[in-house]
Amino acid sequence: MQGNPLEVPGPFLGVDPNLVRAAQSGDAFAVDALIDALYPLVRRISARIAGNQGEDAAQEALLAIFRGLPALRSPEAVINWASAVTARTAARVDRTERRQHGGQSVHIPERLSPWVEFDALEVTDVLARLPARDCALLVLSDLQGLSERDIAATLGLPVGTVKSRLHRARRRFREEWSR
Amino acid sequence: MNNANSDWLDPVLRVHVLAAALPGSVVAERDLAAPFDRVWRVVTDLETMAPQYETNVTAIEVVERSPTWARIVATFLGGRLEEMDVRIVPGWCLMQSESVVSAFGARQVGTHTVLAHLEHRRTSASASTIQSPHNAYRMLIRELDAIELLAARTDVC
Repeated sequence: MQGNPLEVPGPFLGVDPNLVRAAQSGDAFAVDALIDALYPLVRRISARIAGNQGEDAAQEALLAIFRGLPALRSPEAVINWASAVTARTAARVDRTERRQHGGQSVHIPERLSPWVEFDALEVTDVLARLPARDCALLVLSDLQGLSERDIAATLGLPVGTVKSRLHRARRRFREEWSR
Repeated sequence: MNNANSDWLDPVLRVHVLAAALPGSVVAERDLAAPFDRVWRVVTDLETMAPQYETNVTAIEVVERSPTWARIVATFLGGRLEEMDVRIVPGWCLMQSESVVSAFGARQVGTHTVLAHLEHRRTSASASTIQSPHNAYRMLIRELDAIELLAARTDVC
């Protein structure tokens, strides 16, 4: 069972793109280090979205991330990309679980989310349809509860860029929501 | 060993994630009827035990060692020598040379131990040892069986 899913983690340190490149080239020690770097993030996003199925979702997401790693064209974007893969995988695991067993299992903390007026389940469906960059920003900001400054540090972007991209990502979310 | 609340990925799962990142890897996993401590002692006794369970290795010399890292020289069947770097933490052992990756992940389950083992050929330099996936899997199973037998021996304590 995962830890407290409402616990807001500290900022995730950025991942060295050279580590990602080495992992892509088949260096097992680089893969090992990249697992250590990404797993805390993957685990927390999965717990937020898939609740009790968070551990299963995290495992599936990690497998998807590392299977897809060779095709990642921008190693600098690994956090964005891994966050989006995780959000999509966790949303799928959660949907499957609900189809099989019913009930509510989406865990969006009200105190963090501006989307509380929406149905939490549909939020994850909409998130899964957004471009990877938007999905990752919204997950880090509104599900993970990171500040704009922490997101900037995590993604290696200026705070102003994070603000403007978050603004656009929320607009796209609302557009996608209203379709 | 693993801690369900830890941000360190379970070693058995780690083997499977590593395999996902290394196309062509072969993984075998067994529930061994032996306690974790004994199994792990066998797996990480590189100079004495590893040549007994590793099918393609005849000797290992540890040339450098710290609590979590080692550098070894492995002698493979046919006499080929290769330097390998090794990371060892409880439940996780990762070895890599220019041509080969080998990994073990262990998890205690009651009085038993789940042990996963990965082998991966990195380059054509190891082409002479390439086997079909089925044969490679059978070889890993034999190695896991050998580890189980070694862990049951009374002189492993």
